[in-house]
Amino acid sequence: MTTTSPLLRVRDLTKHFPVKGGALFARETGHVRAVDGVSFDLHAGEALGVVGESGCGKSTTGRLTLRLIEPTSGTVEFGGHNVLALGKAELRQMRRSMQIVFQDPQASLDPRMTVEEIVTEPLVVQGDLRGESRTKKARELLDLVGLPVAHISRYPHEFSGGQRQRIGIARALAPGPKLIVCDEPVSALDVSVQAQIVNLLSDLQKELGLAYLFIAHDLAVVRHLCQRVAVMYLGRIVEIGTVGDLFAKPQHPYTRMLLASVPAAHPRLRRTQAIPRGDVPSALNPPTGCHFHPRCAFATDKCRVEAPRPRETSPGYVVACHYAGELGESK
Amino acid sequence: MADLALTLFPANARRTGRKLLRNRAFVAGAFLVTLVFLAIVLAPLIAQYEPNRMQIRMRFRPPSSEFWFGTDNLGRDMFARVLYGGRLSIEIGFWVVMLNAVFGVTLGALAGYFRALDNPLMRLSDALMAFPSVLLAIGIAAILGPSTSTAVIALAVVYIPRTARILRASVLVVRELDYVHASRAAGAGDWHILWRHILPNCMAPLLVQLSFVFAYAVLSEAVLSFLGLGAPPTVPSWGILISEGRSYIREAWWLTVVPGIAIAVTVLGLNLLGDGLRDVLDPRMKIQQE
Amino acid sequence: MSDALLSVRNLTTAFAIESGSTIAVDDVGFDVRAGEAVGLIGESGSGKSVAALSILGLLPTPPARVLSGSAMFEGRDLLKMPAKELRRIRGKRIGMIFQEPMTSLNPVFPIGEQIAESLRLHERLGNEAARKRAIAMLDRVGIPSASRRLDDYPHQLSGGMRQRVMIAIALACDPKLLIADEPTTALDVTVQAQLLDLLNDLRRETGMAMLLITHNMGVIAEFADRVVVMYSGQVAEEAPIETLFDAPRHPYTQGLLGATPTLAQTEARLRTIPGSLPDPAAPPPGCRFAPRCDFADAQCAAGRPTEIVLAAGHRAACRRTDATAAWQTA
Repeated sequence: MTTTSPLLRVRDLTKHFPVKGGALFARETGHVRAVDGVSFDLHAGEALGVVGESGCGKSTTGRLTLRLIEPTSGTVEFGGHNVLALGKAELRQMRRSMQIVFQDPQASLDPRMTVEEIVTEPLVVQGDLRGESRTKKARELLDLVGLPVAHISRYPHEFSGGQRQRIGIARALAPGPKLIVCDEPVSALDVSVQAQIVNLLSDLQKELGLAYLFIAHDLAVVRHLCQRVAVMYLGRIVEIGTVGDLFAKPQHPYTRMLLASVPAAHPRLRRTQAIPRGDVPSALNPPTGCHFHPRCAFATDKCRVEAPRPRETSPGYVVACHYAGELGESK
Repeated sequence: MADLALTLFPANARRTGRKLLRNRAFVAGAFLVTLVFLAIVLAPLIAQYEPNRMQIRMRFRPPSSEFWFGTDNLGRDMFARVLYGGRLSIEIGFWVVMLNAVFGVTLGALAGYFRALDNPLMRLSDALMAFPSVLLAIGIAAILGPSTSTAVIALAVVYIPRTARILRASVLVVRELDYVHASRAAGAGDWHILWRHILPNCMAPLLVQLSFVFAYAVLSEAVLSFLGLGAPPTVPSWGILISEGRSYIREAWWLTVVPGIAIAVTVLGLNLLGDGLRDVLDPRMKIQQE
Repeated sequence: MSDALLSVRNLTTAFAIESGSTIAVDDVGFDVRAGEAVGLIGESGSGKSVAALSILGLLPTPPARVLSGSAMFEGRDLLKMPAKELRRIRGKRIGMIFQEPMTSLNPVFPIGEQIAESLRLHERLGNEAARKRAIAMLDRVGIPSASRRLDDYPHQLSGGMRQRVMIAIALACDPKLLIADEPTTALDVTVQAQLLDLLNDLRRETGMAMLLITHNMGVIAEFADRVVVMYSGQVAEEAPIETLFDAPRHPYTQGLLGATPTLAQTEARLRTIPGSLPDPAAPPPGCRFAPRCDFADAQCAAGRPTEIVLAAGHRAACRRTDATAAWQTA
């Protein structure tokens, strides 16, 4: 852990989505706590993976951080500035430093724009570029992500899925960001192409000193690309630490279950234990106390009543479980 | 057609153009519409007689080699009258489409993009759409008094809510696509996003809708004129021609039938055109094909 | 092979497209023996799903057309069978589950009704008997308090539960073969693990054979006895599961294994396969993998490689298997 102040500092980030009922005059009948008090730090040049199953709030966390969605409460500090307090013009300035890459390379590129227009849009929007310098900048960006510069005036549909994702990455790099939120950037890609993009992201991180908030459901990809990882369950971070520690000695029962569920890398390593049955409960009506207690083999009465507070079990390693450190080794 | 495809769909211009040319409905529709337009534009060259030239001795002549569509009660050449009359019908249709394009798109885009405006705008359009369309047009025309612009305004009011709804639906889909989020993350404002990303990607359904509006407008204009609420009778539109011919329907069937056929051919052509466009451009159909 | 339950030979399926037709499955052959779990793995455009749907007669014709080949199942050719007879085999002798459990279930009927329908259709059971069997099936696929859930509608169930219901429907008539097309792809990893556990249990109990279609090496590693690797509509390699992971001989299989990140690997860079997947409408001439292959020479691009049998049950369609033998796991 570095001792300098973090690039991104998120505290108690919360987002409630209203649930509406009634046909003609919709009333708010409740809310989903999509993100429920999430806190983490991200240092410059560091990649933090955010993993969890669908509906755990990992994607929403990414978008809240960029203020693409307005949080219900909490704070997001980026480079010492409170992102949530910025006015329109300041926010636009700030957006140069924080960018995003999306999951679906098809949907994330405007089909009516050429590659040149797409990758330079952030700069044009910021008023930095026009005319010839636009083409020059676009060429640089394509070169940076390993796309043939000759393809500059082509349209998205003329590219393969992997190439489209490279275009999306080039667009994110355009304004020279310090942080890129990667929202499942390789999930929609075929394995043989996915590896190329993972390597590209890894190279860019080193060359440009980028920080990533890397949202993924594939734990193996996170293991490869990230230095630290946060595990989310029903809107809360249940465990966060370095990839080495977390993957080797997971402390939260949910993390253990998640890791045990990952299919084997080799037929000789097939799982011998069955995964306990049960689904992720509805976020609309989450369990009391620790959200995980209905699926947890170690749950006690305390877990059913009292939500565990995140505890630092070793420097920089935080677990939200009443019995963290007391459950013995997994497996 | 290739030019239109090129401006609207640069990315897929050639592919779209090819698909359109292979679509039978589109080709048939384009043929009929072009035919009608050419005839109307070139009316001074094609027609032998002035549309208002009366030849009393030539009254009620049935269609013949001299008077292709016959003559009316004042001996005026019906061929010339139908061609010139079409001008007004098409003109009214054109302006209704224009007003739809401007106001329908504006209202639809605002309702779809700025969610706070959605409910008031859409409830207003619900209210307008609750009236039978012709009745609503008649009501508006009755208030404003008969004139060409009355017909345009009345018909525009009838169809703008429908166009706005269709555009709103497209905007709702496109605004949630990631390239819109990406643009916002890059610091783009609402107007940039609407103008640069959302509207261009809603062009296809809009174009389809406008071709149908054109057809409906031509048809409804005839109804309004027939009822005496549309254009003044000095420059006859197709509706007025039918209205005038009605008195002589037993003696001179061609006075009503010929303008009726003109309307039918135009509307059929526009509808075929719209069907073809929809088949080729509608994203839902596209998914099924791919 | 005579003891095969399903034996596919020379299967070729084409799709009509705008500019003519494209071959989606090109001269594909493989066997599934009784009680065996065969994995059919490939990336998008590999033709793995099309191959399975061709066998079952489930492709819309047009645009799809099976041009040639045979699919012998219990001694009869599914591809030459009248539609009515094939229908009787589907759902009774061969069960199927698909990727999207939401769209595979009819939203307007309770799930119990949908299981019972299959039983009434194929086994001519009465209402009461069908209902009883439906409860037993739900229980067997691990749906808690089955008798109460019988009247639930699909939207009331989670994705994992819906896939369990699909499995219950597929297995209601005790099929000899279950074809599962990406059954866990849309599901979360814990639910995927639960379903793989379930399928493994059911296979052990019933002795049915399975053809599992997937793009996921991990799912294959967990589940299959034997693997058929497809690339661009053709079979690249076929091998027993351990051989495939320890000593793959087709460069594409080797590339896939290298490109799949695992929890155990810690080296920073993944091995990659250069380039993109071929366009199905215009595949490269010769060996389709040649443009992306490190071992390819001029001859590879010239003609389709013949299949080489490397050992019993291990074959690869590659001219350079001598050079690929040196492959090592990371």
